[in-house]
Formats: sequence, C-alpha cells, structure tokens
Amino acid sequence: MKLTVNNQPVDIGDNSTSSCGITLLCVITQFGAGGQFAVALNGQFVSKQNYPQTMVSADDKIEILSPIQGG
Amino acid sequence: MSTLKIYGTELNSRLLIGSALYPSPQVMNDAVKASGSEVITLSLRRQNPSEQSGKKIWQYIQQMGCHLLPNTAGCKTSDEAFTLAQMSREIFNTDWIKLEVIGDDYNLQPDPIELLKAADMLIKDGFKVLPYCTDDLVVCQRLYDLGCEVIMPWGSPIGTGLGLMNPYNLEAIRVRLPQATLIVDAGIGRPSDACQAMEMGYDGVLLNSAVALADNPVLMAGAFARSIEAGSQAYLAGVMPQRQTANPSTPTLGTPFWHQETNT
Repeated sequence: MKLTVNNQPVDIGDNSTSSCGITLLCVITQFGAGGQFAVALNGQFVSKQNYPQTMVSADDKIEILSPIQGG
Repeated sequence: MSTLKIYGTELNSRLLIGSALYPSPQVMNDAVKASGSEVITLSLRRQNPSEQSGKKIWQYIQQMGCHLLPNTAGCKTSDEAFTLAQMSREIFNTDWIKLEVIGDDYNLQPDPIELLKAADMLIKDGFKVLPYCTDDLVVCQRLYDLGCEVIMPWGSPIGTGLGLMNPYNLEAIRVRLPQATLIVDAGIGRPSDACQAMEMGYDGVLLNSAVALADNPVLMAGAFARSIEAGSQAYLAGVMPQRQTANPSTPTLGTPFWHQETNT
C-alpha cells in the first residue's frame, strides 16, 4: 500500500497487513518514529491512544512531528 | 517587582524568549538563563528517524524548567494551525499556544482572517491562545473579544530587528485594550526597542533573533532583561510630559554673574 509519510512516498509491505488492514501504529513503527512525536492523518490530529485502532488507506498522508527549537 | 500574568500564571520575568538560531544548544541554555525568562517558545517539525540533533535541543529545553510555549510557525491556514496546535498539546502537555498563521511569505505578515478563525477554533477546543498579529487595533480587538486574554502584536516583521515600526498603532492598542495582556512579539532588535515597548505600558516582550544572533547572546540576554525591567519601572513611575520649550532645571534665583539690564 502506497502512503506518504512526512512528504516521502512509503510502501507498506504485506507483513504489516493484518486481516483487517493496516493500522496507523504499523505505519509509525515501520517509519521508525522515536522519542517525542505526534501524528496527523490527512491533516487531522490523531491522539496516541488511537494509533492501534486507526486504519490507513492507500494514498493517505501522514505527518509525524517532533519538537524542535522555535521562535 | 510586578509580575506578568499569562492566563492566570504569574511570571517574574516579562521577557519571553525563543529557542531558535543560537550558535549551539549550550549557548541557548546559557542565554535563556541570563535572560531570566520563564517562558520559552519552540515548535514541531517532521521527524527524521536518522537525524538525532533535534533530540539534544529538546533535552536542553526540558532541563531549563521554563513554561513551554509551542508555536504554529509555518502554518498558512486555520486548519493547519488547529491541527499543529493539537499535536503540540499532546507532546508538550500544555494548552498554551503561540498562534501564528502567516499570510505573506515576503514579510511573514500574519493573515488576520485565518488568524481569527484559528483563534476561535482553538479557544473552543480549550486552548489558551497567544496570537501573533499585526499592530492593527481592530484585529486585536476582535481577538480579545473572542477570548484571547493575551495578544501579541508585532513590532516589525519577524527577524528584521527593525524595532517598533508603528509606535502610534501599538500605543492605540494599549489605550483601547487596557485589560488585555499585551506582548510585543517580533521585530525587536535592540534592548532599547524592548524598553520602548515597556514604557508604552506593554506587559511583556517576546523575542528570539535579537538575542540569538547577537555576537554574544548570553551578554545580550542580560541586556534585554535589564532593559525590559527598566521600561516596566519607567511606565509605572510615569514619564514626564514632553515640552517644546526649554526649562532650566537649576533655580535661576541668585544666579551669579547676572546683571540686570538697567536703562542709563
């Protein structure tokens, strides 16, 4: 399944697919996200507790953001 | 010393400081300490798992013990700002948000329409919004009416260091919104700019580049701390009225070597 994660094309392999589809948690894990981060799916915030039950679909856009310095 | 109140939180320093652009994390750490600021701004960007530099900055910021003020820098629509604010709230565990919605890339001028929409959405979602806006009195009034207890008009565009471009506008906002907590955000270049804002009766100053881009950021941070304190005390003390004519301060009675003109 082709997705866009942090503006990069990502192909989620079959080993991430369960009988009921691919969850956001699978995508985040495959991406290798670590430390502090928050996630948006197609421009909508998804809270941490909802990663396991949030399903992703082909062409979804996922943003995984982390703290940086700012003014 | 009077305190700055941000949504009920009392702060001893009236300086809010940014965490960007410093030569190193250690300099940032030392400059923030020298500034005495208790509020530090920060942001969110796309994570790159192979890039670890962001982690170090975040560790330094956490150790400072400051209140965190995440921003929505880079957002151009109310929807983007709303989502980014929600993501920030989860990561930083704060409902404070420095709301930035940019309308023009040339001077990074806030978009007043999208800003008002975003402020409304965020307040309804429980955020305590600190909007970065232009020095437009009516926009500031609308933000206050929406429920923004803190309003942050610019002194001049972000990162310019041009100081207070429109003192008249900033003074009008102060006069017309006496109950609002007003903070000049952006454009401050010199400690005297910050002092000027405080002498107008502003409640605080938010800056980043002016300290981070100084030759010696730590020294400059201390200079800003003292200038803000001086301006704040000057406002409380009441500045004398300006006069167009000279007035001697030394008593004229008994002036030596003075000869009254006489008609001979």
